[in-house]
Amino acid sequence: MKYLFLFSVLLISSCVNAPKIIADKGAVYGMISADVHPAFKKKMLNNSNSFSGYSEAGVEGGNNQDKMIDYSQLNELYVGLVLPDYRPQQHQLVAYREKMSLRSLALSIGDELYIHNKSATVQNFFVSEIGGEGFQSFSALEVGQSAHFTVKLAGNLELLSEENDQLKTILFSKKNMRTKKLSSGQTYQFENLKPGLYRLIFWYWRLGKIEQTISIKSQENLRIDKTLTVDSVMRAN
Amino acid sequence: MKKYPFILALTSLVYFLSIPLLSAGTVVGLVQAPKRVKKVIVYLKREKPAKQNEPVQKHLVSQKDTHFKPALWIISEGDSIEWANNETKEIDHNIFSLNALNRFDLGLGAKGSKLAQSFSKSGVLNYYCSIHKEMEGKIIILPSRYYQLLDKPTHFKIKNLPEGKWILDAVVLHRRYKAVPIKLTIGKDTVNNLNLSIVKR
Repeated sequence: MKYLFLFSVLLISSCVNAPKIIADKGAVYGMISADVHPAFKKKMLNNSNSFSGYSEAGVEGGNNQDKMIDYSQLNELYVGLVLPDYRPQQHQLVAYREKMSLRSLALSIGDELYIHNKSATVQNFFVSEIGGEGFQSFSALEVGQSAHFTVKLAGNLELLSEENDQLKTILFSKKNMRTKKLSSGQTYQFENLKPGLYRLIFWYWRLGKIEQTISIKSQENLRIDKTLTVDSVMRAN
Repeated sequence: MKKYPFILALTSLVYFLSIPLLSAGTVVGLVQAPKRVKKVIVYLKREKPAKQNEPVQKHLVSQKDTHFKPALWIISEGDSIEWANNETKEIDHNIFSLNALNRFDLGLGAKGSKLAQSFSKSGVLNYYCSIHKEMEGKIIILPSRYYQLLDKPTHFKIKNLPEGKWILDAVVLHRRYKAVPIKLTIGKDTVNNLNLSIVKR
């Protein structure tokens, strides 16, 4: 079973399409995924070969499966690239009665949040720096209305509602960072890049980020795959 | 007649033991906050940070039913937390935080195991288990041992403060608000009628 899994991973990995080559330009592309702690994974693999409380799929007995994080199903992994000629992006969020449409969002300073209020009450949103004093408040958003708000802070932030503590989105903001939201195992690409050095960032709200400098060369596609785990993020920071 | 030396010794002992208490101050006051503010941790920190002489403490957090219990814990700088895996089934847990305040990964803890971590810097830190989605915890690390947790803004009383210059402040869990710190000089007498205001940022 585990060989079938490894074969599938290799097969999917080989299917990542490289961007089209453009004269005097380069690109970066690859696959992002996240995974459980390596020590747990190792234990799961060991236990799959012997009879124990762990099943072959590597999860704890029966009724605990729904309490575990299914890393293969994560759909809020982000890849960002810092661009010298960055143009602000717009990100859409919906505020429901008990939650926001996104648990997390990676964006750039100057990007716009387009928030639609589908909750039952007026919401006064604000952005607060995690572990710091950074703070930004937005104007009141009436029920059923939408509005644009520009994020002016960088770092690890939270978008919160003054009225309802269930309405919360964790933000990671960095100057001039173009971002793509992906599911685990999906591919990203940033193409049409001038040759030079760039900062490439991989982020998942619960695990944090891995940041690296990449060198883009003319008429070359650079492939960088990344798996975010507690271990890999810890080593990178 | 033989009783008198004993009584004298006992009286002297009580007197000498009471000296530190007499030289310790107390602050009493009221937290005034808007209606939306619920939990507040009122604390005092020295105006000029000094080396703490008090012994560090070990706090215990349980891991049960794939939750951290309690999920919110308050400690002081230098203290440590021990997480005990108290699951009834064979369930492993991991404890990690990638907060800049204190980065740690305690690895894997099987049922019955205990994992510990100490905290040297004050601040607020979130931590997680990388296996179970509902396992999120928060630690509030205060710069001193002189604090009081209030479930809602109300009266507070903090005792046994050494003499000196202090700052009265609060951690407000609703992040839209913050406390307006007050500078205080603590002597032997109680400092009464303090009003600690919680205002919008």
